Amino acid sequence: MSVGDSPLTRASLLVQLRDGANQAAWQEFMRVYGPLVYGFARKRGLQDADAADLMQDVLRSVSTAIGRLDYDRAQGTFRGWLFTITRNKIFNFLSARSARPQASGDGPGSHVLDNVADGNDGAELWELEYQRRVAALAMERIRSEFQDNTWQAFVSTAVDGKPAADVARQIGMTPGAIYVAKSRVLARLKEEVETLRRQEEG
Amino acid sequence: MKTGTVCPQTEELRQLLSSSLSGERSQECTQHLDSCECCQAKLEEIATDGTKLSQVVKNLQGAEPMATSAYWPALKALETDVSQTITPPAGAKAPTVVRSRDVSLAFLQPPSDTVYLGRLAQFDVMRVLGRGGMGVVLEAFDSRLQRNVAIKVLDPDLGGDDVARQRFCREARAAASISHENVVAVHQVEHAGENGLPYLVMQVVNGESLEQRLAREGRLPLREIVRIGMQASRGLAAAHAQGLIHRDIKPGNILLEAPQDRVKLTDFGLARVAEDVKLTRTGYVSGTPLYMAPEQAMDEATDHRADLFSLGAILYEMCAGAPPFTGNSVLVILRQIADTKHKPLREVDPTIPGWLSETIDRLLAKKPGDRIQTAAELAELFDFHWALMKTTSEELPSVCQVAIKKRQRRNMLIAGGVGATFLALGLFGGMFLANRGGVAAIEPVSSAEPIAVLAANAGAVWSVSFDPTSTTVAMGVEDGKVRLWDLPSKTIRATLDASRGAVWNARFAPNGDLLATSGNDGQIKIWQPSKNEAIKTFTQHHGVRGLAFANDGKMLYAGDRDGELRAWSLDSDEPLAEAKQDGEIFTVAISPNGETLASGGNGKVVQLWNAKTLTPKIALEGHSGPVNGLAFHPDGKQLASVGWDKTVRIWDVSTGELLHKCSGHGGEIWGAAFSPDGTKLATGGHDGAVKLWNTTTGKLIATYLGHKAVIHTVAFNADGTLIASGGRDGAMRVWPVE
Repeated sequence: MSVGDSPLTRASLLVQLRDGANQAAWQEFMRVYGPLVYGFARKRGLQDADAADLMQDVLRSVSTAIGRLDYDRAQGTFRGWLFTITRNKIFNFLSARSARPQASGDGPGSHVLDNVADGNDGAELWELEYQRRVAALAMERIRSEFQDNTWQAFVSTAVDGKPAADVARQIGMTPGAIYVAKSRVLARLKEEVETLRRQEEG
Repeated sequence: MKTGTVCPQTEELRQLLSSSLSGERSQECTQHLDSCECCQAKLEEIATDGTKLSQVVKNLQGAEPMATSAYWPALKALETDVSQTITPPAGAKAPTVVRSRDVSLAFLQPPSDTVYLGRLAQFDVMRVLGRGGMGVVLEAFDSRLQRNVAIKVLDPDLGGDDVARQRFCREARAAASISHENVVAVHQVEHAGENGLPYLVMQVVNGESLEQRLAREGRLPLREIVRIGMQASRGLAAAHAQGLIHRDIKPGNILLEAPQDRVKLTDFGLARVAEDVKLTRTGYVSGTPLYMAPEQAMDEATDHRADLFSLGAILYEMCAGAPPFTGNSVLVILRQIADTKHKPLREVDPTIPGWLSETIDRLLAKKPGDRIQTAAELAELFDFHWALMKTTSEELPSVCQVAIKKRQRRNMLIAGGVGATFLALGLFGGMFLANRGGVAAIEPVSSAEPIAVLAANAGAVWSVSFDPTSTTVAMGVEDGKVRLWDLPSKTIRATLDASRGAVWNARFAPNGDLLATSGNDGQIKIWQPSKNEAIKTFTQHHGVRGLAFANDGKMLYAGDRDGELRAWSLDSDEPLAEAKQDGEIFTVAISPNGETLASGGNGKVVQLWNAKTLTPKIALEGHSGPVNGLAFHPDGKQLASVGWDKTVRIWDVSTGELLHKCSGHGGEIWGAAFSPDGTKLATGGHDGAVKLWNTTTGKLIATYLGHKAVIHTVAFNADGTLIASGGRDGAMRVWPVE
């Protein structure tokens, strides 16, 4: 994929997705929203293959709908709209499942369906997943701006949760320097996440 | 020096974060942070202020689905689907057609005939060629001048702005004033109707862009680089002479017109219009930074020499296979362009002639004043070296003329001397075959050489099929057309309009009288090879990816993307039998005696059916991913299946037992075919290699290399002496069977 055409740095992603010629935009789109829908579906109890199918379904609907400009920005954010679609599809999927005998004994169907039915539709979970996907993408994009040590310091502490003192010994930096590195990357990450989110909503 | 026991101020911590604190004080603060938990927390708070970022990134790396997850094939399938609807950049004749419903053509008048999409002044709009950043490009027929044209309409989103419109018109008129063989001719600049939407009428260029070519080939041969460099700089010189600066020269704007791949520059000056508007609206810089000149990147005063830098970057990419400045994000690339010297070509590839790498180095100088100053100068340089290089014997006379003219025109004694010497010694030797457009070239690659490489360059090839006499080969392409090649002369006999979407199948009937095609628009068409019109059409509701012709030449079996399976007879308009399976059907195959049908798709299970009634028989389980290809052994007792999991599986048709499982392909396998005598099986897939297997032992006999991208389909001819393969690189190769 041509980096130079990295769509998330150009005009709003959605405008670009409507531009049918923009394959790069679609790939970036799928890299963020694919895992989001899949991860969310898994957390709601769907098994791997089903979650993958659901992800395909949802993103396909999106690709057609965007072409027809069904998404009305006045009604909320894009990911809010995506969440509605995903949630509905999961509900439909689980309803259909519970009517059929499960192939693998202890199916995930029923108790999740209960959850979905009584209003706990996972909006918070979705939001968190979304933030994580954007953060993951942002991390990839800023990686090359940092020296290896700095990045390692950040990953080991902020992501892997290791104590700063241990990491300091491992890398050969002072604990203070570890904290500085971690926070510098976090600050840059925050910036990048904001840029990505702004462009999604732009 | 203080040991830093007193906590730094908040403001200092902020500065420490942004690296704007003094060196000494930074050190002190960092030391303080060794042990002060309060400040450690504070620093992080400042960094993530207002967000829950620390929470979000915790354990983030475990967030991707596992490598073995069904997620990945599902995503792949989705990407393939989406890319079916993608169109190439504006100006080039497109391999794929954008579905009309995806593009708003509301500004058109009703068409003069149902065959057209609409009408604009005297132009009958035939189809959408593509969409670019500026607007939409249409192919139309000029009813007044009786010729095909390309019409570029300013994006209505941008067209609303008066300033943008005026600029568009001004730049367009300047572009229209350039008349040069290396610049796409702009015929007219007009306004459409009452809302005055401006549009350009340009010549249609039949060919591909340099971007597409580079995507396919990576590095180009030296001769091509010099030729393209020469023609591009000539075009540029013509434009600069009119006072026009391009500002957005990139491989996507350099078109290669068939049949000689003549360079045609396009989109002059128009990039600026789009950029200005987008900049105002969204506040972000648009455009590809990869080829941008440093003064453009830093938003300083720009003149025509920026175009020369961009051309230099493109020449670099043609030589090295990658542009001189790359990075993970626009910001990184721009910084590199502004600050970092590019890696000299001599280091990347020492075989590149000194004059070329030095020229490119000069073009890539950061300061405009250090570059070659005019495109005309650059063009002369290329002219000279082009004349020195070996050329074809047909061009011999004109090159001699050029050499003589050069001698007369310039004061370069060396040129005169060398040119004269060459003429005297008759050293214009060497023959190169002209490989353009639909003409085949023989490319010796590895141990086995293809006897023919038939390149239509119109998009991915999804299906190939021999007629029983092996004189015609049918090629189903994603641009919706089926091309019939005459194998002995390696030329295209006919092009059939088979589908509004990609053509998934093009298969000759076993007795060769008829050809069946199926496409993503759900249409199955029967053709008589001599006529260019379908004699029969069957319709299914979704794209038909699986199609098989029975040996009796009368029955056709089709499976579509909604899982619907149908048995069609040439004698009837309605299907004789129907069935439905879960998931999408990617492939179907019919046994030689016409009694058993096999279907496979993203459901991973190969289903066997009674072909007459379409009642299910046995299900063959074992593949761990989608099944892309199926083939019956000529004796009808065995079935081969291939797919995503890279294995070739051979089954016993009556018992459902797995007889062989062959591994050896490096990636997903798409096509499979048995030789007519049943002793061999050919497969092709993701790794671009055609593999030939011994069906009794299951061992690999041979591997044919040559395709540059994933292979989608393989087929044997009637007597088993040839194999044809086709795939994403848009070319079909015909191999002798070992």
